[in-house]
Amino acid sequence: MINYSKEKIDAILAKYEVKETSVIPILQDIQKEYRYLPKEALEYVCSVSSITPARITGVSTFYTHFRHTQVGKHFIQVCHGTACHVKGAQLVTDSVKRHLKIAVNADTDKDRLFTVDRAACFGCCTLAPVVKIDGITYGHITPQSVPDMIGGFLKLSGRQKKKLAEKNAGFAPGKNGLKPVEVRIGLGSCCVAGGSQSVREEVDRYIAMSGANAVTKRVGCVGVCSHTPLVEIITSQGLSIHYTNVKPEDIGKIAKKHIKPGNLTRRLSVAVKNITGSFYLDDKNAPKESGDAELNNFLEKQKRITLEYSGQIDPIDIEEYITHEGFKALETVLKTKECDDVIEEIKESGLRGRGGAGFPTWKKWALVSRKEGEKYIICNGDEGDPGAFMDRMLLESYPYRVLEGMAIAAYAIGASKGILYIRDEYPLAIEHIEEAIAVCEKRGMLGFNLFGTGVSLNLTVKKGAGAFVCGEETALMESVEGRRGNPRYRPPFPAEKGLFGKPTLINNVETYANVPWIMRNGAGAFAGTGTENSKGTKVFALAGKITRGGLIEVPMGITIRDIVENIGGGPLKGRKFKAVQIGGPSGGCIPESLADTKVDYDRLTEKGAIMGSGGMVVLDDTDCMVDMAKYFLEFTQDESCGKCTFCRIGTKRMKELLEKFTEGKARETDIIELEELAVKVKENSLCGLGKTAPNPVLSTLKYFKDEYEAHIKGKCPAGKCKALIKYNINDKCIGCTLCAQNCPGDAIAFKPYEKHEIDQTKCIKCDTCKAVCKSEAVDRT
Amino acid sequence: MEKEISIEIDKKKLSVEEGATILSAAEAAGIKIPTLCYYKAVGAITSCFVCVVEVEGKKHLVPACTAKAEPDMVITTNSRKVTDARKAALELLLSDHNGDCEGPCRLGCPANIESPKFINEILHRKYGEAIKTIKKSVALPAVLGRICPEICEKTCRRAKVDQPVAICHLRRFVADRDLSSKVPYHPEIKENTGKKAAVIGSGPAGLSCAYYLRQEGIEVTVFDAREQPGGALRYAISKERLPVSVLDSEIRIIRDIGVKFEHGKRLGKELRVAELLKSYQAVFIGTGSKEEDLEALKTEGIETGKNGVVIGKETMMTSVFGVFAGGDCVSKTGLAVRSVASGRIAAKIMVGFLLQGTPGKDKKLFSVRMGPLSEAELSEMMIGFSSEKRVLKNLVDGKQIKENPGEARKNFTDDEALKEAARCMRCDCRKLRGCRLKKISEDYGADRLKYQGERRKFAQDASHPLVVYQPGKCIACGICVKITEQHKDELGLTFIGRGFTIKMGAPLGANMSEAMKLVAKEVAVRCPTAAVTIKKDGL
Repeated sequence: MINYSKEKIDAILAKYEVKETSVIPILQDIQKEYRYLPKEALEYVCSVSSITPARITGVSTFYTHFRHTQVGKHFIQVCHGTACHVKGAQLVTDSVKRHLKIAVNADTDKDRLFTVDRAACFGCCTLAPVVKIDGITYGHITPQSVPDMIGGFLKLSGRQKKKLAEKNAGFAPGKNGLKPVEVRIGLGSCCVAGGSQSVREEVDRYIAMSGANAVTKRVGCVGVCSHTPLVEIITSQGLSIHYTNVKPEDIGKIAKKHIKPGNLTRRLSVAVKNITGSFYLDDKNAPKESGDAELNNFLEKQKRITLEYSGQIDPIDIEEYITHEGFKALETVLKTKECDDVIEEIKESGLRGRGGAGFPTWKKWALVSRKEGEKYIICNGDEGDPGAFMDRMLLESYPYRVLEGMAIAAYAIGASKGILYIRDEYPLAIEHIEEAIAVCEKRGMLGFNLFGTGVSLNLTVKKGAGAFVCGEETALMESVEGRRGNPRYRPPFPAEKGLFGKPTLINNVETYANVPWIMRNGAGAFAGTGTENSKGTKVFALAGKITRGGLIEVPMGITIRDIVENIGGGPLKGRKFKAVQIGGPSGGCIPESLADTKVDYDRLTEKGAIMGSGGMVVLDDTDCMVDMAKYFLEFTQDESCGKCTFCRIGTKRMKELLEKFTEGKARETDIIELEELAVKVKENSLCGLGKTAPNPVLSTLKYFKDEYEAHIKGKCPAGKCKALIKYNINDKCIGCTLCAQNCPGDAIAFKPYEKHEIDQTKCIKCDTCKAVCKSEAVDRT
Repeated sequence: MEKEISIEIDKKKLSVEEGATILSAAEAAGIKIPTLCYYKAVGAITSCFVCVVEVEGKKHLVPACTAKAEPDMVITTNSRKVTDARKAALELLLSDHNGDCEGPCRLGCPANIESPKFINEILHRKYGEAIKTIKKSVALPAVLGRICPEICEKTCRRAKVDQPVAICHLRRFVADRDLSSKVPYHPEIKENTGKKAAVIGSGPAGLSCAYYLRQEGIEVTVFDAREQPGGALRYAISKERLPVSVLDSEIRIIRDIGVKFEHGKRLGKELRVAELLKSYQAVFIGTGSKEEDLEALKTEGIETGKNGVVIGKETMMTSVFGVFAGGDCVSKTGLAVRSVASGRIAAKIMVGFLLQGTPGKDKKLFSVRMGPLSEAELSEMMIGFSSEKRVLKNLVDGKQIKENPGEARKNFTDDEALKEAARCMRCDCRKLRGCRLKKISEDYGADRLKYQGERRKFAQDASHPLVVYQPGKCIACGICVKITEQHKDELGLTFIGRGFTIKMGAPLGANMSEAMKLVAKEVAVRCPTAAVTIKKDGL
């Protein structure tokens, strides 16, 4: 059976010059066409190009986004990032499968309508748990809301689906000569997922119908990601009012207040008195007024360098970027500075790599700049840490800033070719960067002869295909070269022998985003913030069990407690702050007792965590630390490339040992066994993934050994480990039957006005009864 | 590139060419570093981490195959940290290794007879080889072929498919065929060492001990109270089951190789241990478990406990220095095969004692074990083997029998033996003698059970005319992938998947025979384990 078209494949192949190194994009294109990789199509590719079957098989089975079997009509992806995990992603997955009657070990329902898959972090951590159906994002999903979600999805028309899945583009021009009212709508992924697209459509509709002198404008991420969608109104007088948790149906009210139809616009100013603007924060999903204190708390402690002008500029509008000092640094550097001066400036600033390890940025630059001949510059945007989304947001909201930083670096090291490697899970980031590159090239800010100085820089985007390990610099380069993402042994370091064997500078997105600010404001201004060895600011993705989550930028040296309690607003109501997980699968958990630790590369490492790329997930007393360790080991074990013994088999065995704990089957000696193995894996792995994979285990063993011991005794103190918990109904039960109605396992008999009971043999521990009970009558022990 | 740099390995100062790896530098200095995934012709792969070494100033251990020697580097290849790490790497690999080194029949046999090997030799009509294989483990195979309770057959994997291979009867077939040949097999005897040993008792333990001691160039005299040798074999077992002629034929060979027998020597009477020790440097006691014998031993100053003679677990030495003991007098089992095994092990220990001054070590067979297989795995494993029913029925005169009936059971004809031998599933590893994972694991004392968890399923691809691929034994080193790449084999091999479930395979769903047109042999030779083996290896 031939189920592909030769013409289509030929057209795809024709797009790429060097076929071998383009295997990944070629496969991505084929999958886009057929939703999986038909074997016959791959055979055809091999028969007409220089791509070998060995390479195509090796590559297509390495990256998890490639599918080799046909999927159901719709594709449901349940995010299993850290924030989603702690908020019950597994229960959501179970619920989806139950609802669709998909067997535990299958992924597609019998009508082949839906295929369910676990996804690596989508980076929408503040909306956790998150589910995507055919690219449409659903946030704050609970096991109970799954049927509604799927039902709602099925009711959408084809056009609606397409529209929702696509990102918006362009915006309406102003009317009349008057400065129009500006309605700024957050269109970062979090906001889009929160429904900002439909909010925007509603505003556009309102403007079109009323003929009001107003325009909508998309802006990047503001950072208050837990209260999306966010709408800001800028009046003709420049006053600003913020609304959070906006729904399309709220637009009427908001618009009536601020956007007057036709010539009534002028009356608007009267209504607005608050010049600083205020956030309307509320956990109930409606825009409601609240004091300024909260906003102040959220913003006061922050310092914005990479997030400068947050929420004020259109990510793609280059004019706006330029009016906000954009490309000033690049132009000055190109026209007035020597390469060495740039490196010296960066050295004085004290900037260290923001991707994790914190290597002094200038050193990398200096190493590459000393090399002769062709060189490459790479921007590492393969932000794979579950629970981290800074890079996504920077690329989405500040694409020009990242490009400018990269261009400055490229000049400093003498590279004229560069690549931005961005996760495929970040479509909006890819779109914005590609668009920004095109705009810059048109205006001579990238490409050939930058600012007429004779310097050139060609940048292209490479999309990841589902491999966390490709965040490791050498694996990333293997991937760019069209191979499996196996890390290489270092030395030689990329500065010596990098991409295609050439000297290569590779820095993280956030690192580059710091550069224009430093060049504009001077190294001293940057170094003036922070601690002795950690200068400037750090962006964190704050998520988990916290009142206000989002993207924050804080000065180095701030304490963890300050972040959690002041910026994040503390733990959720009635819960106790227990620990923060910093650095994702390579990092560790810092307990509340050490929350006064400063955010600083060395202090964090000392405490068993790492700065990492900046995921910060807050945990409370309902989070089991053994489960956390198991979660991360599951992740790293899944993401191991499989090359080295200790990582391939060692992490698997560690995961199995942890499973013994969560299942209550562990013995005293297993703690020692686990710790010994963790140390061995750490000491005997080739790359960062293996070397740091044991950190979550070691740090929880260090600070939460009592929880491991409790599991040996058959108790999960946090009530998280399914095998060790039991649900019971207590005397507070009023016989409302809600639990019985909702129980998916038929474990609760329907007995109106009587105390209900749970049949333990049928209970699947899905937590539904506890979640729906209004009388606190369900105990989890 | 002639620049030389100086480094230090294990306190040795060396001068090596710049750019050399630590591995090649160590090799040049005669320092051995074990490797699995390293094959010079394809370059370093850095996968197995068995070659790790410690480098001063580095936090982590370093793979010697890949890391380059740097000026003034101080390297340690034999620290505790290094050996522990290597051992752990091996143990992790073993925990995910799905294949038996030794067949279950060999591991189940008290004497560890290498049955898969001799059965295969029967299959290829190499009867001379077969008897050699058998007699490496037991001195009296024709006897055992008649009286052994066929323990090996109870562990035979084929029993899970239909019925076990008639291992015991095949062994008897080989032994009888040998005894009836013009020149029965006589083992090679090493040059005389000038050492003398005495063996007390000519039962299965004593005879066996004498047989193996003699082969090492030791003068052996067997003392026995009765007039004829054989002990319980002659006097306690019915002649119908074990004809005297069979016993005599096998004892004749022991005599032939130079073992002397002295009869009518009763312990405590004509025979005194203290006296013996004056002219013999070592004594083996294999008197059996009769009460009077144990009493006599006591009076000779040899300590006994409630089971019998007390011996050192590793040394088999009794309370009297230079006096060893084995067989039923140590612990009564009544199993000739156990006594025979015990005699052979004692001989090995005594040879060490006599020649090196310290008791030799009897290494336990090292073997990964697959354990019970699922039905699907069994049928996968059966591919290529005869699906015929067991030739030997456990029937004598139409009556179902439980135990080995001995002589009453008719010997196999050549054809029958051939047919039965073809039923063996060759559970043992094709690379039993060439597998580097096994070799290094033995060297480092790796414990195959240290880490336990999910293991790959048994599977194989036997499509290739030359080689067999068993992915369960693959350590994902990628040497084969590199070889096919280097030789530009049209399809070649590749890694499929990643992480724990990674496996080597042919691309786009092809099989091994399509994948390797040019390099199959080299791949099989270079594979550090038995993932890819030559089909007729070991024959």
